[in-house]
Amino acid sequence: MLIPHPLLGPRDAREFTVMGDAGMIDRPDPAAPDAADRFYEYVYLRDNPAGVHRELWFHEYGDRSWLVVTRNTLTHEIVAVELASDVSAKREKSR
Amino acid sequence: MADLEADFAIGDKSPAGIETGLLRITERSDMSIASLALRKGTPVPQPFGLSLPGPGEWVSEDTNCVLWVGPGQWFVLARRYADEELASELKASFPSCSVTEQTDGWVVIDIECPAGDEVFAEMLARLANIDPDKLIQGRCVRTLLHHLGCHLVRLGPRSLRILGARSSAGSLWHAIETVAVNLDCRFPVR
Repeated sequence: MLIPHPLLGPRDAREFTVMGDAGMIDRPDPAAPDAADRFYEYVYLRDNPAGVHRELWFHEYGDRSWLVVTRNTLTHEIVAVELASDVSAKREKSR
Repeated sequence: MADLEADFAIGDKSPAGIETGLLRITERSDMSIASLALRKGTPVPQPFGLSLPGPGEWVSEDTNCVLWVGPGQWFVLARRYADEELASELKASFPSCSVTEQTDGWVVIDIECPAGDEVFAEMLARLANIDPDKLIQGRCVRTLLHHLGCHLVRLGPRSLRILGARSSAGSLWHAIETVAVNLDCRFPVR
């Protein structure tokens, strides 16, 4: 499988480590009153869709950047790839 | 105190080297390396007066070079007796950057291929799973070479520099040596 890296072009998937659901970016606020429940969900509850899934990939044997890869788990088609730093910067802005 | 003598990264008392009919492979013992990382909102440094290169690129001035290794991070290589002074000098020049000594962590191996472009392309293809047409002069890439994470730097039309982890320098050398021997079989001297 080739992953189209936003900076470096198509790269061999063996250079990457998959770290699961991209929801990991949204770490709950530990100071919130419902923090315990939010952290329970954050740490233990995951969707496991058969289809389009947003995942975090780490370019471990490459430039060591974190990517958000939108991938179809049934066909392995890669729909979109963004730098995770861009994704969280956009999110910060929209808050 | 015992009188200790340091071995070179590949393990000999002198830098390792092989010359086959096609390739000249040399362990460099005259490279100092430091990494340079930008902090948010700080001025962009120009080590040796060089503008920091973009993704997948490297630039050089005299015998010094700077290669891009990741977003906001570069390796600075200076050709001189391998010591740890480079990092302190960079930190003094660019105090707002994060600078880390790297000389101790890496082995630098240069490969020259006077035998021609075809042999060079075949060597690249056997070393790593990258597109040899994209690793042109002025470009560098970090990838896997026989399961070892390495930086490949295209120094010239027929020369390549490999930076690998010093702790597995022997395995890296073995991998390169194997490719060199196999290339000799693939391109026998007529």
